[in-house]
Amino acid sequence: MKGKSLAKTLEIILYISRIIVIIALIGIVIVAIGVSALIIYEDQFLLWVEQMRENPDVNIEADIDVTWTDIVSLIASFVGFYIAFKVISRLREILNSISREKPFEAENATRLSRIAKYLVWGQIASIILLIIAALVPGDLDDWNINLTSLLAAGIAAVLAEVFREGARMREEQEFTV
Amino acid sequence: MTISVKLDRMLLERGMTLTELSEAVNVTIANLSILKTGKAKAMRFSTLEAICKVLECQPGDILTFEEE
Repeated sequence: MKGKSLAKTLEIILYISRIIVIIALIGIVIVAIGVSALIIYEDQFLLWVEQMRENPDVNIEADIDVTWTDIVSLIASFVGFYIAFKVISRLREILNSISREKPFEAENATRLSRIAKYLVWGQIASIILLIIAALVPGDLDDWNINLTSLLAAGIAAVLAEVFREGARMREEQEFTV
Repeated sequence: MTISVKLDRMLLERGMTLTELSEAVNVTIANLSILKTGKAKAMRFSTLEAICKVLECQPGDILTFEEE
């Protein structure tokens, strides 16, 4: 009963997190489009700023300090949030099954395997983007491989096996007369 | 499953229905159906004992082994 209410609470937290992640994803897309436009149309933008400065009523200052590395960084953020979105969705499904008092179902093992895969793919994407960021013009900030994420992937993979075995035992128990 | 539970013949011989057996052995009809249809993964000794007691038979009379 306690576990069930905890699952409900976590479900609500994950629901809110999911909304935040969706907003962040939309925000990143908008910023990425804006930054790309600034880089591509930098000259036109600076010209427009100069024209605006001629008007004494307008006080405007512009300093474009964005590079393609920033775009790659935004893509990395997008990938990160997208993976977070997928992980949260699977976790919600698992918590939902706990609320229904059926935690050891075969689907939960699959969900945990997927979480492990998402986290590993996230790190692979991070490495690829790191290489791209190093190739495109711009300064590379401290960007590194997230070992915690890989560790979480390992834990999720182990848990998936535990749940698979649990599901098998549950089925056996269910069909024991 | 190569081991199957043959309840039909025993019930027929004793003029008993599955519902009556269910009440006598205190096992739900759903679970007896699982036994009958061969979906069961395992059978408790207590269930086997209760069925044998009610049907007045030996475990070998209701359990059969068939090659797949």
